[in-house]
Amino acid sequence: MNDTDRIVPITMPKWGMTMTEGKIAAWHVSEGGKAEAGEDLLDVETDKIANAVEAEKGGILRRILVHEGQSAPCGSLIAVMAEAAVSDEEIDEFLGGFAWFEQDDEAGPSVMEEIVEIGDLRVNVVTANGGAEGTPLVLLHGFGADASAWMFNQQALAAGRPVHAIELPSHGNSPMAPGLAGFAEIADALAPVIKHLMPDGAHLAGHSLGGRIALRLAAGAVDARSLTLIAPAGLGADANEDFIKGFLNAERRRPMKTTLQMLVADPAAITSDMIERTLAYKRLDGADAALRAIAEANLMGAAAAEGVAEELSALTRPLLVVWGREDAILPASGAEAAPKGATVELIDAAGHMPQMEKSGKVNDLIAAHLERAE
Amino acid sequence: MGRKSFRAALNEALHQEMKADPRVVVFGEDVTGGTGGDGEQDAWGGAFGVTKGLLGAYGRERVLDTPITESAFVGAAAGAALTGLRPVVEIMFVDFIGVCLDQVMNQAAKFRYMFGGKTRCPMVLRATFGAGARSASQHSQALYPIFTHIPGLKVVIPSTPSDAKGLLIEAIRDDDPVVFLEHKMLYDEQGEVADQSYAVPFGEARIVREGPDAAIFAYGRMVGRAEAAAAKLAEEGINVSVIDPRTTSPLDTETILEFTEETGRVIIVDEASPRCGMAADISSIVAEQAFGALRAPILKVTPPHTPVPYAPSLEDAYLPDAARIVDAVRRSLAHR
Repeated sequence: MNDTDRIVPITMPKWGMTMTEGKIAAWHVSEGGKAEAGEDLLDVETDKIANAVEAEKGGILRRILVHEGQSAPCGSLIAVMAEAAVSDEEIDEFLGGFAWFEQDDEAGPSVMEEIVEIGDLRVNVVTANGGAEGTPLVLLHGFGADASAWMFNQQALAAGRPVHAIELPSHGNSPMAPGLAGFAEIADALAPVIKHLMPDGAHLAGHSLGGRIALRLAAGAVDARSLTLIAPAGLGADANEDFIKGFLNAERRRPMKTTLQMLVADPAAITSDMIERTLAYKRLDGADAALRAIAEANLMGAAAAEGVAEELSALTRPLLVVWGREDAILPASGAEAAPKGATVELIDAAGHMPQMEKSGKVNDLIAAHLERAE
Repeated sequence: MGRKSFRAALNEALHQEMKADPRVVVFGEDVTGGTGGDGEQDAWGGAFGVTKGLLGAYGRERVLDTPITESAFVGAAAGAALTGLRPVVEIMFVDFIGVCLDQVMNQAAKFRYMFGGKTRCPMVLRATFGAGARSASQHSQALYPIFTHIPGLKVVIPSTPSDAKGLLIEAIRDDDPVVFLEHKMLYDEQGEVADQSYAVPFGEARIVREGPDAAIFAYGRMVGRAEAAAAKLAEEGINVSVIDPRTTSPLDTETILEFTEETGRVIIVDEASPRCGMAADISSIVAEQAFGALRAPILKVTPPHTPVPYAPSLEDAYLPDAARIVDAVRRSLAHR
């Protein structure tokens, strides 16, 4: 047994492109205390967001290096876990050998973004751990969102594999693409991008409208090794029109706050920064028209349901369906449409964004799903 | 998206709107950039570098240097706006408004009302304001209360590069006269600014920071100082909200009242003179409409009622700083 198995470094996570450091809001386990795998170890906050960090493996929290109220750069060592059998000397030796304040590419997978241009289409792709050898994973976010919808997932899923979060046309840092609105057209447009980035196939995962697009891709144009659908559009009841219209019509902070709170089980999860970023995106010239066209083509009425049954039955590779039980946008009953043989997981105390609200649980489910598929 | 300076963000807004709308014209003193030693044009991009490159891109028909006669060129802007252009006119220092106030107060601000809504005056008056540059009493004032006092004008005070761009684009697209005030000490501030065009609406405050213990309202350069004060207080476990209303007219009264209700403690930081300024104005709104929510007296952090001093030590002492804001928060919290 070597050090990497016996001594587990806890490093400052990196949630999204812009996070450079985090502050320890609270340690839930004190030095010398025991934690099970999956238990919340600490809370980290940035100027944008706060979230818990879970223990990846069980053990004793032997050293806390960065204390409550202190900040540390992403990827830097903040604590060490190990079993009781590991001596203090061994931990000292480990600490001496650990590269302090290393860049992300040493202490955790690197994240970069680039615009990929195929024909007329230009889309922004945020990539974690681009140099890794494993089968890549592609993430497709939902309506009105961007790659930050995966801020708690992308790095966590990038162990040994590249994870590409593609920003849908007219979303995030992808340029406005008026005329590209229906899920089928968007899927057709994205297929060459995915094939270009991952000529040897990839795992696909999509959330909400991104789930509908991922299903379409996996059933046809793309060699999908597995498919993960998180609260996908088209499987169950129509999208909540109050949300869609509220999102389209909200031009200011208060109405946007009320609308975004519909997305989550705990309204406190919606921060001022999320509201401001969403409004900033909606205020870009052309965003309003693009969003209205996309909503009209996919999310008003039953448009997204078209072809779902055929596409589900055309799938040959493993399917994971994840849904928040308290989803107020696309009700969790949609999971009943999953075909026999699919893995279906309903998440307690989560709304339409289980990958953010219960990120640790959802990351575990996706990681296990990818492992099974390989 | 990329990091840009406040100056570059304003320059990008002007470029994008001039490109998108041929009715947009720019004029003022030295806006074609100034002549270099060898006769080179656009040598410095205007007195503060904001109009750099406009002359080369849009030519002398749309980027015009004016004589040093504010009353003439501000009046010309009002007239041009009435007849269909969208002029963006620059007064180098807002302190010079004295020589052309009639054009703004009695002409531009009144046209729409006095012609019964049959005409519009879509002009933007850009000017630098504020102390800190060692420029003495006649080049350092924060005169936004004068404009805020005049019905018919919209008054904008950006505090970040991102807001500078979005608010200037909104100002140019607005159909009414807008006074757009740029703090001269913010031009080199850096921040994330989207490359695409976007407009930030008037009358909506920016929530800079959220905390339950007190609410600090601040404009322009004072926003950064309020943030510094909030960061200092956070080290001691005191978490305050910092709100930048962004425009004084229209004023986002709703957000001011919302944060008053949430915190019960109000501190207003204003770089303008204390009499009849935004601190006084916001105080009156809070006292009148949210008195029951207050747990402590409303506190104002402002300069003294004197001209801006020239001596650097006096100018520094004149301006509200983070220490004074921290002190005000503590005094507010001392009321139980």
